[in-house]
Order: sequence, then C-alpha cells, then structure tokens
Amino acid sequence: MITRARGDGAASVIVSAAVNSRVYWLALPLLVALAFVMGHVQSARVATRDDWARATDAVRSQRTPTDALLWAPLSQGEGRLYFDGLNAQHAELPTADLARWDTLWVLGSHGRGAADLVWPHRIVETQTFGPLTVEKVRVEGERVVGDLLTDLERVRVSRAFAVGGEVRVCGFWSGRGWHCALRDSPERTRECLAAPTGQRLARRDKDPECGLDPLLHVSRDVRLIGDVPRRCLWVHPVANARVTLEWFDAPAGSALQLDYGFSDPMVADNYKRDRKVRAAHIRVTRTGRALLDFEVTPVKGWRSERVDLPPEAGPLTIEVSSDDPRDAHLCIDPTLRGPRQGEGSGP
Amino acid sequence: MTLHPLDRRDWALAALLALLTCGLLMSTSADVGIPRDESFYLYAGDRAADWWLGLFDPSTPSFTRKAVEAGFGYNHEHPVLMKSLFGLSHRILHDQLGWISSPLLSYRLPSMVMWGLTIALTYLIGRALQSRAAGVVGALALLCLPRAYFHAHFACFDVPVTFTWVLTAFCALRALRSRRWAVASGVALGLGFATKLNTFFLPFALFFVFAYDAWRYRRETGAWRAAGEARGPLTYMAWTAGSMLLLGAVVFFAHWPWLWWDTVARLREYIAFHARHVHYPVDYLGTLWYDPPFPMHFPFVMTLTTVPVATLLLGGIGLWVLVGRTVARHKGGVDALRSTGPVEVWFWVNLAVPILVIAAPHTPIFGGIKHWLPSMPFFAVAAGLGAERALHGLLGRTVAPAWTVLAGAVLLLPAGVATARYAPMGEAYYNELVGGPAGAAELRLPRNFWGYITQGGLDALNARAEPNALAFWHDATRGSFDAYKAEGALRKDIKYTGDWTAAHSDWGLYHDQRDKHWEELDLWRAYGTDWPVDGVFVDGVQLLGLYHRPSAPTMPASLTPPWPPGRATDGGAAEAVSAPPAAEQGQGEQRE
Repeated sequence: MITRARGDGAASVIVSAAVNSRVYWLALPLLVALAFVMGHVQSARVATRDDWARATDAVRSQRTPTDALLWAPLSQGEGRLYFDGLNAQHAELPTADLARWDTLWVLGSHGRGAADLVWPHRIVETQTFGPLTVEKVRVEGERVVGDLLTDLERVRVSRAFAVGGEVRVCGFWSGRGWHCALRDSPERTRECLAAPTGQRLARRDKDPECGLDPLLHVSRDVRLIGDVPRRCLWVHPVANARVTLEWFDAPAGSALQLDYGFSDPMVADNYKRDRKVRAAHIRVTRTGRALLDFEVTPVKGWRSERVDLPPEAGPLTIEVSSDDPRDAHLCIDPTLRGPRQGEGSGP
Repeated sequence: MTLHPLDRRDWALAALLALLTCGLLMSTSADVGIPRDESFYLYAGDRAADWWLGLFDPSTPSFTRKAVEAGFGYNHEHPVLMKSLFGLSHRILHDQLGWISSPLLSYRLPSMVMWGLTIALTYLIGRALQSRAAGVVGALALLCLPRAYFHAHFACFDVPVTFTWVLTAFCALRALRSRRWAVASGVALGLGFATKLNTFFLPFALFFVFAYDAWRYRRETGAWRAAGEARGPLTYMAWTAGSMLLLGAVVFFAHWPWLWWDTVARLREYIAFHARHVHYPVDYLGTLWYDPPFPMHFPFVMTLTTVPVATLLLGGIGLWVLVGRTVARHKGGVDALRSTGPVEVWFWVNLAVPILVIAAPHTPIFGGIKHWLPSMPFFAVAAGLGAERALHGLLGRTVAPAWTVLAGAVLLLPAGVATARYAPMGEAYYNELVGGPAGAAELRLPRNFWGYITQGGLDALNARAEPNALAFWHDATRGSFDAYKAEGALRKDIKYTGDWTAAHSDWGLYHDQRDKHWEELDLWRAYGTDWPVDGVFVDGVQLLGLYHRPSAPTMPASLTPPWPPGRATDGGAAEAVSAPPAAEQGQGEQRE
C-alpha cells in the first residue's frame, strides 16, 4: 500500500512502497538466514585436519623423492601440519616456476587447483578428500639443468673487503653456506655450531653466532620476498664489498635465469623512505664474456633476468655489488635451463 | 523524540543484563590468552594497588615522590584508574580474600564489570530513546559482537573507556535539560580521562551537540537566553562545560599521583607519547601499512566486515529510522527540542566521532577495531530500534514487547553463536560478507593481535615438550609467560628464551601476523623445517604455528672451497685472491 506518494517523486514512491510492504520486510529475516547458510557453506569449503591427513597420506604413498607439492590457497595453512617430507613449496599457483620438477602434487580447496597453474603442465590424476582435491601433475616446458642453490657446496665464494680492497675466499662452510671471516678456529666454530640449544642460549648475549658474521656470508636461505617465502641464496652486498660466486662446473644449458629480490621488510609497501635500501648491481660472466649486467632496483617483489646461452658448458661467475653501506638484503636464485628430456630427467 | 523516563524496572533490567554479561565473560575468561599490553598492565596494576593499599598502612610513607614513582612510574603513559582497579581486584579478591582462585580472572574482573555496565547503559539508552524492547535487543546486539566480547575479557583500557564514553554521553544527554546531570557528566568525563586518552575527543563532540541546541534555540526564539526564571540550552551548556572543565580536570589530576610532581612536564610527556604514537603495522587489503597517510575507509570496512550480518541489517534499519527522525526534528520548531534537546544529533555525534577519529589519515595506526569500540553501543541501540521497526513492518502492527525481544533474539542468534565460538580468538572473526576468516585471509585483512593466541597452543606444548624445553615465545611477552604459569596453564619446567631467539630455542610459538611473517622464516631457518607440528587454526587459517626443532644441531661438514679446475689451490689463489692462511686453508679465515 502506498501512503506517502504525494508528488515527492518516483524515489519517494518506491521507498514508501517498500516500507509499507510486508514482502519487503520479509527480506530481513531471509537475509539473516541467507547469511547463516552462507557461513555454513563457507565453513564446509574448509578442509579438516582429517582431510589433510588423508590427502597427504595418499601423496606420500605414490610420490617419488623428486616430486614436489604445492597447495592453494596459501592462506589455508592447516595442511602444513602434514607436509613434512613431501618437498612442499611456498608458491602461488599462477606464478609458480615448475622447471625444477617433473611431477607435482597440487592440493587445492576453495576452487583453487592445478588449473590455476600457468606453467605448461598436464593433469594426470585427480582425487578428492572432502573439500580438498589432490591433483597429480606432469610438468612440461623447460627444465632446470643446473641449480646453484643445490650446488652451493661446489661454488667458490669470495668477498672484497673495504680495507685495502683485499679479496678473500669465503672458506668456512657453516652447514648452510660459506663464511668469509671467523673469530675462532674452524674446528672450534664447528663445535660451537653443533652445541646443544641450551648451551647456545646460555652464551647468546656474548656469542650469538659462534663468531660468524651474521650478515656477510653466502648461504642457502628463505626470505620473504613479494609476500611469498622464497628459497634463495643470501648474498648481502654492501658498499665496497663485492661478492663473487664462481661456479666452475656449471653445466651446459640453453638459458640462464637469475631470479632475485630484496627481503620485503627492507623495501615493502609504504615503509619509511630512509630505511629503504639502495640499488645493487649484478654481473654474470662466462669465461670472461658478460651474460647479464644489470641494476637491482630496491622495489618489492621477486624478479627475473634471463639470457640465452651458447651450447658449451663453462664456468659461470656471478658478481654482486652495491655502493651503499646500508643493509642490502638481496637474495638470488640462479638456474640453468634446458629442454626437458623426458620423464624423470633432471640434475 | 521524547526521552522515556526510566523507572525501577528499567534499572533492574539493566542490572540483570550487566550481571548476565559479567557471568558470561567470567565463564569464558580461561580460554582467552594474554595480549602484550595486558601483561604490562597486570604488572603495573599490582604496583598501583600496593600504593593504594599502603594508604591504609600507617607505617607506609605513601606521599613521597619515591613511593609514588614506585607505584605509578611503570607504564606511566596511561592513567591509572583501571590499572589500580585491576591490581586492587587481584590483591583483594585473589590474594587476600581468595574469592577468585584464578589470578588472571581477578585482574580482569573490573573490565568485565565495565562491559556489563556498558551493556546495561546500552539498554537504558535504547529504552530512553525508544522502548524497553528496543533497549533489550540493542543490549543483546552489543553482547553478541564477537570482537567486542573478546576484548571485554582483557585487563586493558578499550572496554573501560567505551564504558566511560557511553556513561559521559548518557549523563550529557540528560544534562541537555538538567543541571544535576551536568555535574554528573563532569565526574563521568573525569573518569574517562582517568581511563584512556581517547576520552579527550569526547568533550569536543558533546560541545557540538550543546552548541547545536543553543543555536536552534537562538534561531527559533531570537535570543540566546531564556526569559525570566526559565533556563535555556545556553544555561545547561554552561553548567556542563563548567562541570567538565572543573570536575573532569579534578578527577583526572586527583586520581593520578604520578602527576603530582613535575606536573607540566609529565602532562606534556603524556600527551606527546600519544600524539606521536608509534604506528603499528597493519595488513589491510593487500598492503602492509607502516606509515601515514592511511586509508580512510579502514574503520568503515573493518566495521562492515566484523559486525555480524544480522546486527548490520538491524543497525542499518535503525539508522534509517533515526535519519527520518533527525530530519523531522530539524524541520520542527523549538518546541520539538524543548523537553529533551537534540537527542538525534547527540546520537549521531557519539556514533560517528570514535570512527572518524580513527579514519583520519594521519591518526596513528592502531590496527584494531577496539579503538572505535565507543561507537558500537550506539550502533547497537540503532539495531534495537531497527528490530522494533522491522517487526512492525513485517506484521503491519505493533506487537507486545516480548515478541519484539524474541524476534530480535532469534535474528541475533547466529551472532550469538559466532560470539561464543570466537570468544578465545575474537580478532579472527569476520562475517559472511567477506567469506569469514578464510575469505578475510585471502583479502589480506588482519586477524591477529599482540600475542593473545598463545593460549591456544599451550595444551599442545605442555603435552609434547620435553622436560625443561626451551620455548621461543615470539609476540607474547615474558609477563604473559609468567602469568600462564601462575594460572597453571603452562608447565612450570618450560623455559622462556627471550625475544628474537628462534635460533636458540627448540620450540617456537609463531603468532601469525603479516608484519611478523619474517620471524616465522627465522624459525624455519633455525629449525630446518617449514612445517609446524601443531597450532591454532580458524577455518584452516593459521593464527598460531607451534614449531619444534626436529633434531639437535649437528656438526657442519668440513668442506674445502673449490678451486678452478687444473689450478693448484695455493698458487692459483695467489693470482686472484688471498687464500686463507696455510693452517686454515680451505677452512676459512680467522678474524683479528
């Protein structure tokens, strides 16, 4: 029934009609009920711990040691309780670089799954566990044939030191990477690193790092870059302390890809300008010939440079430098790429 | 709008609602963890309480600078009304009388009482503005706000300052036409000042209401003052302003002995601390915000996504009803204002100001919805009005109040269920409009807050940790660690390793916050695994990750760095680089 339509215009008529119609008011309980149902539907899309346990058991029973696992959305973190030993990787499906693997397992919920992968692939098997889908994926496209991350033990690292311009080989292996300067003898440093946690804690104030420099080393690391944890090599160039990595037995490959980025907290979002790092410089050569030579601008994100290579193998040298004394939390991930030979191939 | 008089039944009903609220909060307190700031206030509370109790001990020299600084020097960036109540409740109800066995609950009781009183005041305002039924539904709507209910547990200031805000506003509403209430509003404002700094915005907001009242009177009558013996709005404004200035200042100064020495310098320090408050990083819609200018829509979007849908709908209807009344009142003559003053303007100001303060782009980011909590009782009142209007629209007639209350309670039932479910983790609550906590995580909306979620991981840690385990407590404080032990919630033998000690611990409790994500990576690096062994998850989203070092540290291999193929280790090195000393060749360098 319309009671207030006295030439106030169409809007007024509509509002009055709505206000005075019981049907419109019925929308209120219906909307509340709808929200209630939506809440239950939203909860039903979430995998339980039991779903994750069954799904990961299924993967565990079928996987080979070189298979990898991705899950989506990444925010569904409860499944991580079951990922130990499954070579699970932190990567968004659309941007995931799959060149390191031949077979991939994708655990998806909330409408996510292997179909979100942009990298060339073929889904060979799908299973469901509650709201969770488990997809076995055969990876296609190019393959990593040389991986500096896994080859770090076989790389010579050296660092130029500011005083006198001396270049030193980083000759101490800490278990994760090469260090250039020790306070104690290598044996004593190794013993310190192997000490029980309680002993390390007791001397934390005086000796938190067993005499190793916490920053000036080249190590396997995981850093938050572009909002995603990245496995990479921590290089941390600072002013006048160029870091050189010599990869003598780098295999032949058709291309060199160098992924890199600064740790998010150093450059992220609207962090105060004066805390931002300055640019770093990366130069890659093979037998004296420059392959890549570029500035790493301090912006948030995980970026990539790529260059095609001649077919011959040969040592690769990567030099990373900076002209700024502030922290340069740079992490790199150099790989050599080649055509995928067939199932199970790779380094 | 006339203000309905409150009778004995209203006060009884308000008291009942307050008791119900306190009882509920006390029943769920043990599930709610201790955030960082609460752990500081527990310590400060005991110091303050000892000073107050010392007043009854003739042998204690309380009024010396040393005694006052011992009582109030710690955490002097906040006034001491609530800290004193937390400490007194603990010292008396737990330590001396033993009436409350849980020390944590005894600290928290004053906050819970304040929230109970806020619920009661919400009822009284709804009752005064509309009806008993609207008041009850409004009170239920406020009680069933998951995030507010969560915050109401803490021995912190956000809920108490919500109470003092609403109390002062309630007194000021009456003071629009009463000199006695004008005096009361000055005392109430002083209590607000003594609770938390955001009260300082309130007198300016209320001044606007009184000024509008006086301006309307002047516009309608042509005079600022009423003729003869009659009192006009300007009189009540003067009384209220005088009371607030005088009594507000007196209560504030009198309650805080720390201000009794170096008053100007300390006041300056107090104000400067908050004016230049550090910006807490907040993850909001995909950006980790560290510095201003901040998005102005933050408090609006967060309100829309963290208030249950039924409450939003009822509140929206109520606001629409109030818009209509405001317009009608504004168009009406001065007679419309004569008995009560501009009630609707009063309502809008109190609803809007707490949110607008946080929405200002250069207000320091505080991150949580708790900072505009004083708005929510007013929104809940609107929900009460909305319920009554909706039922009238639905049935086409006015029904008995009991039916309105029943209908409102049914509509708010999902909100009540959510409030119960999220009591221990209220900061993770998001409504269905964004897909709940899982949808909010995908939108990158914040879900954690200052280390409160530790509580959820304690059972797993107690069950799994080896004797004398070394635990990295991450965002939770040493104070909370000690409080959990005192509470019996944490095994006595588990040890606290300190801040930033991931590498020196065997157990890590990572509190999931985007700005602290890099600290989770510290744990991965230190323990050699990315995967937690247990944790607290809501709709699959991590709130707390419990990590364990899978094996003891091992001796790193003794490796020799490679040299160019075909070149002698020493000779080759001499050309290009300084090789390590002979004794250390291949083993690294010794630093001088």
